[in-house]
Amino acid sequence: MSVLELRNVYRGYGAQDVLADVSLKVERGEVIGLLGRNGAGKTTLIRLVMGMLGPERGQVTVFDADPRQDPLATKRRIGYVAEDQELPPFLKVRDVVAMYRQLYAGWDAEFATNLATRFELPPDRKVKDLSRGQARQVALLCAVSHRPELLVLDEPAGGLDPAARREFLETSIQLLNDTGTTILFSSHYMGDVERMASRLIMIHERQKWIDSDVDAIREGYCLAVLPADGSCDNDRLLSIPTCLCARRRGDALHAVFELDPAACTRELEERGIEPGSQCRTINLEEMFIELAGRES
Amino acid sequence: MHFYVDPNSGVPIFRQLMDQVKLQIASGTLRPGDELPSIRSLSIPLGVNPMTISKAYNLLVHDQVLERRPGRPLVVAELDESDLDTRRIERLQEILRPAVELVRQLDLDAEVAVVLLRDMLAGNETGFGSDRIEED
Amino acid sequence: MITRLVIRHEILRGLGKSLLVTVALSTFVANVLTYFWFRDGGRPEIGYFEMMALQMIVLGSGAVVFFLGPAGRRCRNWEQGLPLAARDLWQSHFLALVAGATTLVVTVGAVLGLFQLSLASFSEIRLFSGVDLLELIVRPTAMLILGADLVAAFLPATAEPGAHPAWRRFLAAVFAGLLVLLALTSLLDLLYLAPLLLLGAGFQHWSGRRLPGALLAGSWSIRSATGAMVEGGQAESWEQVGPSRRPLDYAVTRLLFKWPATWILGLPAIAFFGLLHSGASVLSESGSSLRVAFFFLTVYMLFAFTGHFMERLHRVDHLPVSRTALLRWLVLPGAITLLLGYGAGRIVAGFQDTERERLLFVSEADNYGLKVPPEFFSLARTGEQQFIVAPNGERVAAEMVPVLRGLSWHLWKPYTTPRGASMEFVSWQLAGAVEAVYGTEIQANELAERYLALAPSGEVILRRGSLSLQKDYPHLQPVTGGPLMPVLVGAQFICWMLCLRLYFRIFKAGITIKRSRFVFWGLMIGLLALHMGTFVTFVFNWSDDWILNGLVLGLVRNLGAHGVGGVAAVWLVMGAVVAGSWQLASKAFQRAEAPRS
Repeated sequence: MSVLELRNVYRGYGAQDVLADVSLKVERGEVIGLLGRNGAGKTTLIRLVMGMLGPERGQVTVFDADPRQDPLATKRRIGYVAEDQELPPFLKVRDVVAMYRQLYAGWDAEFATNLATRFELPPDRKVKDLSRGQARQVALLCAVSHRPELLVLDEPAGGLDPAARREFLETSIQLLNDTGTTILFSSHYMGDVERMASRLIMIHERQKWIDSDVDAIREGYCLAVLPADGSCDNDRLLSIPTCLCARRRGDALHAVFELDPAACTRELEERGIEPGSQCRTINLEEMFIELAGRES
Repeated sequence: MHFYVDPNSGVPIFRQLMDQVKLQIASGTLRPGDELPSIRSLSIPLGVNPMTISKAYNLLVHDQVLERRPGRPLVVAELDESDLDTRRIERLQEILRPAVELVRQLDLDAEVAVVLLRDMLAGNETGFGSDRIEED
Repeated sequence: MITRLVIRHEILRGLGKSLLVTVALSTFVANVLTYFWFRDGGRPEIGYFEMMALQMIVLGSGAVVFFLGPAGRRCRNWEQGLPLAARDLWQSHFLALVAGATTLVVTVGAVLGLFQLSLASFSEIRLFSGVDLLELIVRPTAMLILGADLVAAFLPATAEPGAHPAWRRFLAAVFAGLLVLLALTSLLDLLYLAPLLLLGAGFQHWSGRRLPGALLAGSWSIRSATGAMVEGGQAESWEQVGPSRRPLDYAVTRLLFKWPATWILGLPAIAFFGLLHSGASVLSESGSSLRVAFFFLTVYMLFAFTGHFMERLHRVDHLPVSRTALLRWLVLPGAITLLLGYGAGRIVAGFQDTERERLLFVSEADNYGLKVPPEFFSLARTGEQQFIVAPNGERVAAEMVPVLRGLSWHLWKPYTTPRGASMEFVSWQLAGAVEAVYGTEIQANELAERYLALAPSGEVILRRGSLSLQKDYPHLQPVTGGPLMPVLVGAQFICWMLCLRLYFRIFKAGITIKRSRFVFWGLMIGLLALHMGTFVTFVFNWSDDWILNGLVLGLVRNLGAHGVGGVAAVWLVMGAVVAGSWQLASKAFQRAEAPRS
């Protein structure tokens, strides 16, 4: 049963398109890592899922319904944490928790108390007097304590120190262990994405560029490095069907292939391209940089 | 037993875990009949999606390295000695494969490599062995 | 260098909104002053105390700059990192304060001056003499410069001065001191300000010398991570956190409104307008004056109260709170305050009514006849002269006045008593008026015996000073005005909802905050223009406030008394339309999207 689905969604601001013909489907229990450059449309996609925006064309379905149809019912089943979220700065932490407890059914008070104690949150301090990490922890506590079916995180670890990020990660994993929550999160910390996500979706230039299993990406994609002044150029590489992108970087040509390194080497040899080329596996961060970065 | 995970390496996490389990079995840290930690107890300290650990465990069960027992945690499967030896050799092969590749890339003579290996195993890491070859 | 710093200073950047509020308020003041001139037939009595009060108001509008956030901020984070001399930064801060305050004061003067100029080109109206205007601007400006001296000299060394209660107290003390100084110096000529300003300049120079080499601003955030960790949470206290609605109501209200300014400034203003509309004598002797004239300004205040809150919607948009609930939180405070103001006014009016005579009879050289409250005039759709025929056959042309010059609708007085009318006629009219206004029958000849007499010229005149019906007949109770509240306040609510609906409709995909601001302020200015238009018609004699009152109040009274279903029907119909307008606004809000920054 799909938790959320986008079908041929278009969304822009004014004359500018941010998402063009994006389709995706998320099943229950999946953990989706949403990647993309700043401003690429990740936040827009998340807001579409939350029902805070409507698509200009196409359909958005969350829990088998249009999130804008009955926004209350949809939002009650979702836990939301965003980097730009503003908790009411003038409220005490306990009041924030009380407020969320009022708003969401299915609140697990024991779980919330455990989290609050574990995070060492001071109940009587005002939100504006908390450090950024603590404020984010409060937001996370409020988002997960009602045991949501879907957890939506928009750069949740942005601006947090490594310890706070790790805490966040562990809490999310605990949720996965307990209730098998579906998680949709966007992040720039590739290490966290690698650890948490079962599937990756990358948004680039208004389109969906990658949508597949994380392990499949790791094992099924590779980077080929070729000398730039050789017999090969960008276009020739791009003409190969399994080549995702080709870019010049300094003295070399970098190309990402949808093949494992051995198969890639064979492919290049068959096409008579430079034997001096190297094919190697590529970690997520490098892949992101290759796909989304500019020529240098 | 102790596991660790490096998300930035070239190897997917599930495969890292599999390799570590196999290594620990091969080196004797994990003996046949030992219980493996539950997915839950491993996922949080490692900071890894429990489904990844589940995947690793499932594949190891499929490879008959681990065994399922109804209502009880996974255990290391019984192996006979020859199996164990095979696995050890397989492990060594995996480690040596990239080294062999390197020898080819460096365009070194195979003999040089063999002598070097022997020296290192004997505990002598002196020189590059080239004068030795000439002597031999 | 310093000029560039001053121009870019955040105090001046943020002045825009204060300017608009200042313009609106000074327009309001000018309206009222013009009206009183118009009514008194000459210059309003701007005596010593009125002048001082006006100067204090002008001082207050300029002093707003000191209370804004940026005023207390010594310098910003990134400025500290620049190779700028502390002296330059501080100097620019001081100059920006002076520039900001002066701009506001000059704006008030400009508005009043413009008003004066435009009126002077069409009429004899002169609000102030040139000297008055000069005093009105120069003295408060001098005070504000001295104030800026003090503020700049004692800028606290933290980034968030607003968080220091001591800073706010200091500002309040400075403001109070300036008011006192203003009162004292208004006894003297303007020239005597010069030594004060010299003193101020000296003080400023001295404080500049006291500055440290680097303009430090202390801790940039009050919260610190280590502090948070040392004071760990007490596990026991978490047990008591139950679900509670209160923080939600409070949080949503505070997050969506521009807190606290909107509530502090807006609610009393709305209550005041409610009071005005109730008929209590607030701005003038007679309660009816200006009762309906401020209709559009009230809608403006209501709309301004909710403000451009869509900018802040993103703060609560992700919470499972229905849009209808949010709208309720936004609208209820203003609506309730308006009703409370109206209600309080009705109570006050109740007490005042017993004092004030409703019916007057005037027999002077240039003014003769029975005067009735304007709501007892009748409405004629055509411009045809209306006649009144008495039972004895006497035929009299009724007093008529057009509702708006150029329109055929006219108000005519059925109780007209022209010069030369017979005693019988006059007393018949008086009896008719008494019945209409008080709902009681008093015989015409009784009234004639009590109050009227025949002058030697044959004219009917008053026997004594004035009609004292309410004193002599204590049981007389004025007839109720009819369902004015649902009509007047209801109509304002409806206009407010329609404005909100227009506002919400622009928030579709792709709207930027900048463009939405443009539309919002457009609506605000439109409402102000409607309000100004009302007063312009008065000033140019195209209509008058009592005519407006007569039209609206008379209509309501008639609806209540003679309309189908009477008062109950009016309540029901208005209730339905109000509910309908709420629905319209609410529906538009459902589909509105928070704008992108």
